[in-house]
Amino acid sequence: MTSVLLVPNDFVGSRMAGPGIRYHQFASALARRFDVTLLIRNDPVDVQLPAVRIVQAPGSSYARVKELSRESDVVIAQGGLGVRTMRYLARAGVRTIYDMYVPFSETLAYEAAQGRAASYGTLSSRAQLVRQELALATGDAFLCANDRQRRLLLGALSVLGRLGMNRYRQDPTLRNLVTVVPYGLPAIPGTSAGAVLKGVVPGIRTEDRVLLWGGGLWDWLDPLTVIRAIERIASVRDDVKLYFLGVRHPNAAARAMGMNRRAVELAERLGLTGKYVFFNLGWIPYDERASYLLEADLGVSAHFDSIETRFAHRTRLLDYFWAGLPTVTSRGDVLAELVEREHLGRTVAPEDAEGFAAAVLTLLDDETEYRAIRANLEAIRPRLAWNSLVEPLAELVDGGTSPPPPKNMLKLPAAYAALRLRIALQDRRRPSERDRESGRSL
Amino acid sequence: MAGPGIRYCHFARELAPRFAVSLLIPNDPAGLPLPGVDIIRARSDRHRQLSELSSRFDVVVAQGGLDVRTMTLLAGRTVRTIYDLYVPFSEVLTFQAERQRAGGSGQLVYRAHAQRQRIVLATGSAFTCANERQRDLLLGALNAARRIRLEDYDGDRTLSGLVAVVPFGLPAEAPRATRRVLKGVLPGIAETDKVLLWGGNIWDWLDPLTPIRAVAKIAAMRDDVKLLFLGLGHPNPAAEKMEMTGRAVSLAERLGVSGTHVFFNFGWIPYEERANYLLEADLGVSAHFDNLETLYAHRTRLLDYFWAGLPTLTTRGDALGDLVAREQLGRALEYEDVDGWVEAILSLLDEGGLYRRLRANVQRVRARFAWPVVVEPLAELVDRPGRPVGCTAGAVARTAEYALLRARISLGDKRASRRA
Repeated sequence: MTSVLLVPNDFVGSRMAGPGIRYHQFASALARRFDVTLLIRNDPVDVQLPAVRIVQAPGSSYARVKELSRESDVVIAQGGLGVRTMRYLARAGVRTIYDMYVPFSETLAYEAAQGRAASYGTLSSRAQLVRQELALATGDAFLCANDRQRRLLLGALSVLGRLGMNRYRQDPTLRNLVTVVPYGLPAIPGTSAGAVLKGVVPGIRTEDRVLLWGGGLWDWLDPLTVIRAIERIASVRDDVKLYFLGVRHPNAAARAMGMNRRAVELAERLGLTGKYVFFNLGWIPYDERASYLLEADLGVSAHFDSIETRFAHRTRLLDYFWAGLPTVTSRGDVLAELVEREHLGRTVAPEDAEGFAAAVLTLLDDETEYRAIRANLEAIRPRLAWNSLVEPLAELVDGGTSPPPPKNMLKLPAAYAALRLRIALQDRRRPSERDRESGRSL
Repeated sequence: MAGPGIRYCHFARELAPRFAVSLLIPNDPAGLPLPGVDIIRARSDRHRQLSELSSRFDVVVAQGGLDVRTMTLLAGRTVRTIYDLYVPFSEVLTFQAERQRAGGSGQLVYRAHAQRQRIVLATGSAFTCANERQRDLLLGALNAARRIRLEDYDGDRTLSGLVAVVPFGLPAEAPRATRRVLKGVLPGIAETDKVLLWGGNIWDWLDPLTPIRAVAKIAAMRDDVKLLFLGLGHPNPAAEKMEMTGRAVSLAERLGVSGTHVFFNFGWIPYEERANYLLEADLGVSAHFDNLETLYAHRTRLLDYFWAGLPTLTTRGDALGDLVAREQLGRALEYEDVDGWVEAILSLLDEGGLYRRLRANVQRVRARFAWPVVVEPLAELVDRPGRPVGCTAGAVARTAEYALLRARISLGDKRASRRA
C-alpha cells in the first residue's frame, strides 16, 4: 500500500484552528486508501484517529521528517517544510505535495502588521519568499484552497521554470501539478452540549439575537466595521449582540496582534463592551465550538479591500455553513462570492458599517429569507463534505510519478541561510522581535 | 487592424484628452482618426529609436513589453514603463506545444519566451492585463520574480498600482450595416435561414469541432440553421496557418455539411465590413477545450458579438464564459458537449421570448465595456507617481541567456530551411 506522511504546521488536537483541522481531515480521509502517518508538533498528543499512525516531534523536525520520509512514498506538507528538509527530500527523490493554501499575500499582510522596523520586515518577508520559492521549485505537486490561489500559483510556477512543454503535453490542464482542495465541512452535523451564550453570558438574554465572529482577529480582518454596525443597531433596539469567539490563537506563541486591541478599545470607547459586544479571550476547544455556533443566529466576518482578501479562504465561514448559520460578510473573497451565488446570507462592501447593519437587520427580521438561507445551507452541505473534497488529493497521491523538479533551484537554501543569518543578527539587537518571530517559523 | 492594433488606437484616443500622447506604429498612419495624437513611424533600428524617444516621455506603454535590450535599458532610466501583458504565457505554451507537435522548434521558442517574460516582469514599472484571472497569474509571477516587496504592499494594499485590469472594449458607436452580405447573398444561405457566426480565426486551442458536430446533427432535423466561420486568415501575413482550421474543414466535409450548412470564409474581413456580418447573424459562437490556455484566455471575438447585440453560445471555463453565464448573455456550455450545443442552439433560436431577453441583457452590459470606461485604469496608472525600477543584475544576466536562446533558435531554423 502507498504510504503517506502528513506534516501539518499547526496543532492537531483538541485545540485546533483551521490548519490543524485540515490535516486532521486529510489524515482520516486518506487513511481509507493509504498507509497514513501524521507528524504533529503539539505536546502532549491529544488526538486519536483510526488507522492513522501518529508521531510527535517538536517544532523544527528536520531529523524526524528525514527519518520518516525513508518509509514514505509521498510527503504532504503544509506550506512546504524547512529549507533543509525540502532540499533533502528533493535530493532523496521522495515525492512531495506541498500544500500552499496560505498565499504570499497573507504573508505580506502578516509582515506588514508586525509594525517592525522596515529593514527587519523586508528581510523577514524576503526569507519567507525564498522558502516559498524553494517549495515551488522542488515540490512535485501543489495544493491550494481555491481557483484564485491556483491561478496565482501557476503564475509563480511559470516564472520558476516549472511549466515546461513536456508537462503541458502530458497534462494540458496542469491539474496534476496544482490541485484545488478547499476547506470542507465535517460529515457529522454539530451537536450542542447545552446553552453557552443565551442566558449564560452576563448581558446576553435568552431572547437576544447573537451575531458570532467565530475566529481570530487577524490584522487584515475588520472587526471594527462590525462593531460600528452594532453601535447603529444598538441605538434602535437592544436585543442584538455580537460575540467574538476565540480571540487568541491556540498556538499561544503566535500572533498577539494589534487588531485584538483595537477592537477591544473601540467597543470600550463606544460603550458597547459587556452590553452589546462580548469578547471571549480564550480559545475554545474544537469540540465545544459547535455549542456556540448552534446557539448563534448569524455568522459574521469582515475584511478590508486588499490583496490578502483577494486570495483568502476564510475557514470560519465554513464553520458557519456547517452550523447552518446565515452569514453576513464583506465582499472581495471567494467565500463571499459563494455566499452571494448560493444565497447563504448577505454580502456588503468593505468598511460599510451602515450596509452591514442593514444586512444584519434584514436577515434577523425577514423570517422567510432566513428560512430560505438555512435551506440553501442544508443543500450545499454534501458539496462541501471533506470526504469528497479530499478526493483530488487522493488521486494525486495515486497518480504516480511526475517529472523531477529542476535541480538548479537547490542553491536557494544558501540564499535562505544568508537571510536567516542577517535576521538573527538583527534579532540579537532586538530580543523582543525574536520572540514574536519564533512562533511562526517552522 | 486586428485586436491588438484596435486596442492601441483606443488607448491613444482615450488618453489623448488627459496626456500628451504619441503613438509609435510600424505602418502608414494614413486614415487613422486620432485627433490630438502625435503619430511616430517606427524605424528599423527600434532599440535606438526608443532609447532616443524615452528621454522625451514620462511613461512608455508597450504591448507585451519591448525588445529585451530596450527593456533593460529603459529600466535604468527615469522613464516609467507600463507593459501590457494581455497575452498570458499559457497561450504561448499552447501555441508552441502545437507547433512542436508539427516538428517545429517549439520547445526552444517557449523557453526563450519564458526567459523574455522574466525580463519583462523584472523591468516593468507597472503592468496591465485583460481580466482578473490574468491579474492573479501576473501577481503570482511578479511575486516569484521578487517584484512585490513589503513596502509596495504597505503603500498600496490592493497592489492596484502594480497591476491594473484593462479589458478589451467596445466602440462607442453602435454598429451600422452598409449592405447585405449573408442571407440571400452567400450561396447556400437563404433569406429565412438562421446564421451562427464564428467571428475570428480558428486557433489550434479552439474547438470548432463541437459546434460543427452540433450543426450537422441539427441539419438532419431541419434545413435552416447555418454556421459561418468568418475571417480565417490573419491580416499580418507572418501569422501562421493553424492545423485546427484543416481539421474543421475536413470534419465538415466528412459530415457532408460543408457548403450546405457549414461555411468557411477565408480571407480577412476589413474592420469596417465586420458590422455587416455581425448584424445579419442570429447567434455568436465560440468554443474551446479544457486546458491551461482557457484558464486565462480573453477572447475578443465575444466582444464583437456583444457590440452587435448578439446572444452568444460558448464553452464555460474562461473569463468571458463566466460573464455570459452570470449576466445571461447566452449560454456557456460544458466542454465538447455536442448535445448540449444542439439543445442550446435550438432553444435560443426557437424561443422568441428567451432570445429577446438575452438581447436585452447584452444591450445592458455594453455600457460597461465602452472603451473610455475600460481605459480608465490605465489612465490612473499613468497618472500615478512612481519611481523607476532600476536595472537589476538579474535582468542583465537574463538578457544574455535570452540572446543565447534566440541564437540557438535561428541556427535551428536555418538548418531546417536548408534541409527543406
